[in-house]
Amino acid sequence: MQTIKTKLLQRIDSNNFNVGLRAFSAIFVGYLLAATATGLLALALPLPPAESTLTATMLSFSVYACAGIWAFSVSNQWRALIDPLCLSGVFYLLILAIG
Amino acid sequence: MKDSFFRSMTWLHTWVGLLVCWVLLLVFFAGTLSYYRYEMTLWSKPELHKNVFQQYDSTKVASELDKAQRYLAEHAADARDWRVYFPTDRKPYVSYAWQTQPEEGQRRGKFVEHIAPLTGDQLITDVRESKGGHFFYRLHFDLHYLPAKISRWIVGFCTMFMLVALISGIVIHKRIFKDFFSFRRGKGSRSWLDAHNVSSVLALPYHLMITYTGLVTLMMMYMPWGVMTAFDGDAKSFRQQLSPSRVQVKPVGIDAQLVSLNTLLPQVKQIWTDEPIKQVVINNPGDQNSKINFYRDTQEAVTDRRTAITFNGVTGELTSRGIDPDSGAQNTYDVLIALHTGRFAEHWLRALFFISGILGCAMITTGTLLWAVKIRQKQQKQIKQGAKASFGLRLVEGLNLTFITGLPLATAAFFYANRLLPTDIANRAQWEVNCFFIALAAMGVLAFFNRSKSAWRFALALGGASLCAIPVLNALTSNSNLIDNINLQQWPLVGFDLMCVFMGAALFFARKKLINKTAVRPKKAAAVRSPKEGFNHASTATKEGA
Repeated sequence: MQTIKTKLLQRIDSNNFNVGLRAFSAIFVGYLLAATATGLLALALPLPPAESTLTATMLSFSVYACAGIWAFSVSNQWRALIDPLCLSGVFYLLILAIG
Repeated sequence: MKDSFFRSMTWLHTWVGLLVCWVLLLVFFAGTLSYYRYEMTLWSKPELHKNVFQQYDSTKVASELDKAQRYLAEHAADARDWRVYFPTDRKPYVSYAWQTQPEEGQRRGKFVEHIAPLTGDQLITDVRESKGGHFFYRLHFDLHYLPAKISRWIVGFCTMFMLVALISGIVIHKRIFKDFFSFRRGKGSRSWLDAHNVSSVLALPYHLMITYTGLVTLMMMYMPWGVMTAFDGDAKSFRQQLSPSRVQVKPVGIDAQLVSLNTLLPQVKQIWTDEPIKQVVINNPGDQNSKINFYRDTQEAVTDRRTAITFNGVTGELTSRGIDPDSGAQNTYDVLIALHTGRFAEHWLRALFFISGILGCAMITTGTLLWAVKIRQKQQKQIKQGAKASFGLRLVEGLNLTFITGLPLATAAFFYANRLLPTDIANRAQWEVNCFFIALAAMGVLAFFNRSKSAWRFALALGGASLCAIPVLNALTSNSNLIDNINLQQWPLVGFDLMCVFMGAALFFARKKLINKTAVRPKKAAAVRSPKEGFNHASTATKEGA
């Protein structure tokens, strides 16, 4: 007889959940990371604002792609979600601090 | 995710590839064709196939401009803007165009273009309504039947998947240099893998470039957060800082005489010396706030910036010399976009870009065929015992047949529609496009019912035949056939005819490869049940669809 808790834990440990969590992280949290990184670079780069914005935006897709790759290569599935989320948070706080 | 980084990346490469490969094939196919969109558009207008093509002649500019101004003043007095196009390498004719004032609720008016023939005074005003090659250009990022914004997000999403597929593909390709020279024929999925590796690696810099620059081209839509943060969302001020010379001028409503365009040519020549003028655009002609813009043909310069020499339309005063601010970031942005559009490419480089695009299509095609063959091999045992192929396998095989054979067929259908649809039907240009999608959908219907090798052979034969017959279609529906075009040296038209024949031949060649050799001797194969024969049967059966 399985309790609700055991069933939930089984679902979380399943491969489908693993893939789903990483995909969510890669697609949505990856975008969040790229967006916050872009905003931060646009403010932080030592160039005139129009140029730093251009540079930051052009670089954003590399950040996004790396986040996607990372989400599927890190060993713990929860790290795939939490780490980029926290990093985005740090970037956002820095944006608030600078701009 | 899996035991090792390598295995995780292999898994990732397969799935990011598979989930979006058919959309990507459409995008790559349409994008590759777009390298020749002007040539396709020329072919799609048979009214222009005689007595129109000419080269740029700097001595004729003044007289042409004068003729144009008089014509436009007579025929387009209250238009929103006037345009005079001079011959370029890819648009080899002179034309006068204008945009009518928008009607109620419309954002733009109608665009009208009249082409000046080489000899004679009567302008060509009745060119059939057709999108020509520009259909394929728009198709590869705006798709069709969907609002542009949604399409661009879909394409952007798929492109990010493509970027991750490329990176993961490179990372998992351990023996990238050794494998480059291996091609194992007749070994089912292994052969497809070799083909996939070759087509990917041979044009790898191109694939990375075109994917990344594709994202950069629409980056302001995908990643507005830089502007949001650094400019507080004021996109206008951002654009203003990037190109201060671009000023939108609205009409005042007060009539004023437009200055004679010829009088401005000496100043233009002084700034640009001998560079050819591509077009002259007059905003708000006849109004006090009119502006005259001269654009040059940037030819082989790797730039997409269209900076104009601008004059006040009434006084003829020079207001902008057409010089853009020059910063590292801006130049990089400009070059990245220019690399994607490839406008700077002349004939040989353009051909190389086109071939690279075809290799990109081959990369996607071999990838998805590899997957289908592999899955069929896996399920072969169950299928032999009577089970049905899984839904996933049927879906992949169906989509493969639909898109791989459907896209060339649909392209042929588009050009047949261009020549065969009556010229006076309503929405003619849209109906040509509809024919493209009807052909694609028809292939989808066939694939739904039959995914066997014979269906593939039929589809490839149909596509091959319709493409090979394009020069015949041209000869029957245009006043200038292939031989005439060679004699008149109208190379864009010659190239199009020959390219279609070449593509058709390629489809026939592919079809030939699908003809099963053992099927020629059915009696012997059935009668002899030796172990050797049985083994052969198994290996050919894996290549056979059900």
